[in-house]
Amino acid sequence: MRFEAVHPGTVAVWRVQSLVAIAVALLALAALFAPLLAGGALAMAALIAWLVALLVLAALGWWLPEAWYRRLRYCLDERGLSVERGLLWRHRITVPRVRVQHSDVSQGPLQRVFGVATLRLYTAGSRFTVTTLPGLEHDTALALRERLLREGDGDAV
Amino acid sequence: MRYENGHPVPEQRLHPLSWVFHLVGGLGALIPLGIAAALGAEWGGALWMLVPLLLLGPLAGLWHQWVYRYDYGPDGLLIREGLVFRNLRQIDYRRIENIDTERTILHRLLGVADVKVETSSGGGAEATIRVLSVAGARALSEAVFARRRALGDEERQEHEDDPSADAVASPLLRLPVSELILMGLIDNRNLFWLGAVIGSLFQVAGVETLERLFGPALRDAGVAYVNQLGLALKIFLVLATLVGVLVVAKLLSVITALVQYHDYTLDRDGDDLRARHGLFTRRTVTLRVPRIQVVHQLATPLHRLFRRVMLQVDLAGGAAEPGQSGGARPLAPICRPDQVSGLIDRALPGLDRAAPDWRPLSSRTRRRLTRLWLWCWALLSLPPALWWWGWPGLAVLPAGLPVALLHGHLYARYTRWALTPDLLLFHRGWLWRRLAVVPRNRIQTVRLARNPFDRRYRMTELEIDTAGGGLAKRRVRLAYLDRDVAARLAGSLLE
Repeated sequence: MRFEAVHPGTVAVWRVQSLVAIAVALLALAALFAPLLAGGALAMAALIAWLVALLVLAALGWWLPEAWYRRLRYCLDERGLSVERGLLWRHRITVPRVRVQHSDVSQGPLQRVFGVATLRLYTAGSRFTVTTLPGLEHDTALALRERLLREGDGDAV
Repeated sequence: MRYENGHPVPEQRLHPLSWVFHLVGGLGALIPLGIAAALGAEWGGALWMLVPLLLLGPLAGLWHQWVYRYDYGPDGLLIREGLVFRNLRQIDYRRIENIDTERTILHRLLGVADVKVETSSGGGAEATIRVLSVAGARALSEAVFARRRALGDEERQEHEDDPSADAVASPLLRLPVSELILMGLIDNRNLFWLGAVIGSLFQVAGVETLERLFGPALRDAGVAYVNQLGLALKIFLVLATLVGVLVVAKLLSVITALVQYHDYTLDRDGDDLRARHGLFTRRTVTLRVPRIQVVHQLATPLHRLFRRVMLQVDLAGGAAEPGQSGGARPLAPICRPDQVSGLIDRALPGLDRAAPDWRPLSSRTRRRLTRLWLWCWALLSLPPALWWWGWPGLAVLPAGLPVALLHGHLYARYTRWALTPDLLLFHRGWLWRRLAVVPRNRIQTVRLARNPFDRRYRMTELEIDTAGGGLAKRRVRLAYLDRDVAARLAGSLLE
């Protein structure tokens, strides 16, 4: 099995998403507590805590997508598609071709800017009904789905 | 069946007494009335406005009965509901998996049945026909399955040579009363809430009653001091509570088993299996064999004491019934170990189970489990021990060692897996023993997972997803495998 990495553009997508989420959360926190603490004895301490949180979260938001990207690999072979991901809890899920019920290739506005898309495979299973492979180049995603479905046109269950 | 502008219009009607079964809806309207009356409201004025609500149930029932039609269309079962807002539902014959009937006492008095039509899509019955006469229900079931066969399920027709006549004569499994009593004794479902109820009852009423009953006797016997008396009574009370809870719980459990599984009969219905059971509410459940995904065999310590096991099956897209975890149906609520093989052969026909080559877990499992249990024991017991006894409390630590060692040893010894040309078998646990039999052609996806602990012990966990199951304890999850063994197993499962 030869695993391939996804498109690096997805790191930028995840970074923008995580940084925006962190910014929104911290600003909301600030807006909530600023009137309460303004001028009080705890104002300085709260400001410092806020700044530290900002730095730590921003660093995480910058570094984690890179780490996720490095751990996210996929492989298409004659049996089906395998997706490997996870930093601490690592897993590899394999979807046999014949088990794919239907599939989605989706692309949000942010993903479009960086030219990536998400491939979703649906099976008739009960626990892992959807297998998601994010961060593919849009054309790659379409081609991958095409290959997966064309060659898997056997005994559909 | 008649046609309007080329479209089929269903014509068959419900049983004339259907409206009776909608009365329950009207009874809900009694609640505000009852509350108002209980609060001492005057019978006059606004209260009378509520009375028409009582009529809503029967009227809705009559309306439903009047407009409801079903029929056998060319491709599927047609059901029409409503006259103003019309809804014509077609359920493709080939998609109909189960036609179950359910009969409460009222149904049986009136000779009717609720009919549930289930398809392979999950989430409850596709249609509930409330109600048909028993003959009508049987006719519906026969008509649907006959059309289903006629629509050319080629693989099913190959099996038609099986004469089903002999199956009618001898059921695959029949549970006599003695087995049901055993089943009730083994089953623990009622124990927990019942313990709470009885415990609190004893707390409230017990002390005074007991003191009144046994107080004089104890005093005569020379228990002079009040506090001594109190202590003796308390010990007696605790013991009596425990025994009482156990006895009543088991009694209830036996009664439940007798009522719910009265005259449990599992027999063949063509290629499929059909279970009928129930004393008051008589249920008929069809288990479509192609839908069976996994067969589970469960043996609790009590099961082993009485030399019995329980068999369950996971059905694809099984409708989650109340009280049943999604898709799980009993194949045999209780049976002898020597009956298991025959029943599994019926549930998973044509799959060779002979001589599985059992493989153990990783050789490091024992060490890992022992350490895990010791850590858990330390985290749970050390803080209170240190709090109470100070540093001597450290002595509780070695106390956990025997249990941890024993568990690690036994778990590693009894947990094993085997791969045959057709099946994956997985046996897990030593106290509660579960065996999962998974046909390899039912496997949907295979997942290999490694958490930080797995990585440290160079292990991998392999989990299999089928179209049935879902609940945590029914997952087919082979933990503590050697890394390369798991990779090879995953590879061969996907071939």
